[in-house]
Amino acid sequence: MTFTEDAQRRLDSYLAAMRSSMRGTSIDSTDIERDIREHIESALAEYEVVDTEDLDPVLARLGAPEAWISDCELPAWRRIMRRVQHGPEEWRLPYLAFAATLLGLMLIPVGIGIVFILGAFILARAAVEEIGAERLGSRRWLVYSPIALVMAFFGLLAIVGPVPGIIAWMFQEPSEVHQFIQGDSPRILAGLVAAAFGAWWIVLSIVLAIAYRPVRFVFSPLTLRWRRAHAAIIAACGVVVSAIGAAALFAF
Amino acid sequence: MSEPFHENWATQLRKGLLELSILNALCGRRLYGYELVKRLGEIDSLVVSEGTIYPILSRLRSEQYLKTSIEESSGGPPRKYYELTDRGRAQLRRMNAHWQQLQDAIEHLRKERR
Repeated sequence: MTFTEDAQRRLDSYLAAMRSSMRGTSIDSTDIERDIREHIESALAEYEVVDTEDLDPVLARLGAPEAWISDCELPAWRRIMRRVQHGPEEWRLPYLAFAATLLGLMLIPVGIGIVFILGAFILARAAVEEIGAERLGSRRWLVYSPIALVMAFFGLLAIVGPVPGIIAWMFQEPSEVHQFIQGDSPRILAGLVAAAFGAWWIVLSIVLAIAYRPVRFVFSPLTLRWRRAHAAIIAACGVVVSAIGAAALFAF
Repeated sequence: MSEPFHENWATQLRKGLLELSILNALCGRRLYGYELVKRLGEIDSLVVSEGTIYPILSRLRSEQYLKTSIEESSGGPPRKYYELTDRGRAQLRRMNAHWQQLQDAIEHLRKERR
């Protein structure tokens, strides 16, 4: 049996890929190469000249050259790399999400870290949708970190809201404020800050009560237990803090 | 949603059963790699990729459940024949008994349901 030039090239490249996947393991690739050659020659025994058209289906039935070594025979780091490169989406996406998170955290001082973290968040959410929250298993350790990071960032943004801007305006335009409130003692300033935060949290709780489904979806699975009732807790906090602020401003 | 679940389950089941199938296929006979692959390939949905058989054969040989001998063939390349060792036969008996136990238990559960 002889191989045409193209078929020989195809076979050589298959064997080279197989040998490369065996590197760093205790498996003898010569033995496997012998098995592959024997298999191909047995499968194509009736052919005198083998072309790529004859060879390709046999190689396809043999499977990917990297699949000749099973996961359990690979060192840990190669297992991870294999899952990222060839693994099913169910593993690839969580690994990519986690890698992007680590890269993002390292690149935060340079400034582009946030882009990677947002990318990791999207990959992690795609992984959750692909796999299903209840089937994440140990993969939750890979996908939770970017979701938690982005949720914490937007959570903080939502809690602070426009309050710093309002306070800054109060300091820049004291006359506008002094029309209503006399004095600029620390008590008055603290009252203004508390009232501003309290009022904002009441507004925020209304927004969250109306849009609780999108919030629950965007940060799923971390927010799967988010209910309208939780918005009421934020509203209650807002009322209490507003009342403290109002007391500081007007009650004394 | 149920299709990926079924695929995953079937893959796991297949992985577990391939070793048992290989040992049973070699029980009382010597086969060379390609012949064994073809024989297992006849069992519907047991062998998805033919390449998965050889690493298992290699592992079973390193566990000394199989031994190999290379023989010249008239119409093709020299062939590596696989056959069970005494250790392999003993292991196969244990695996078949275990498999039978599982089958009986599952059958019992199914009957109970009816």
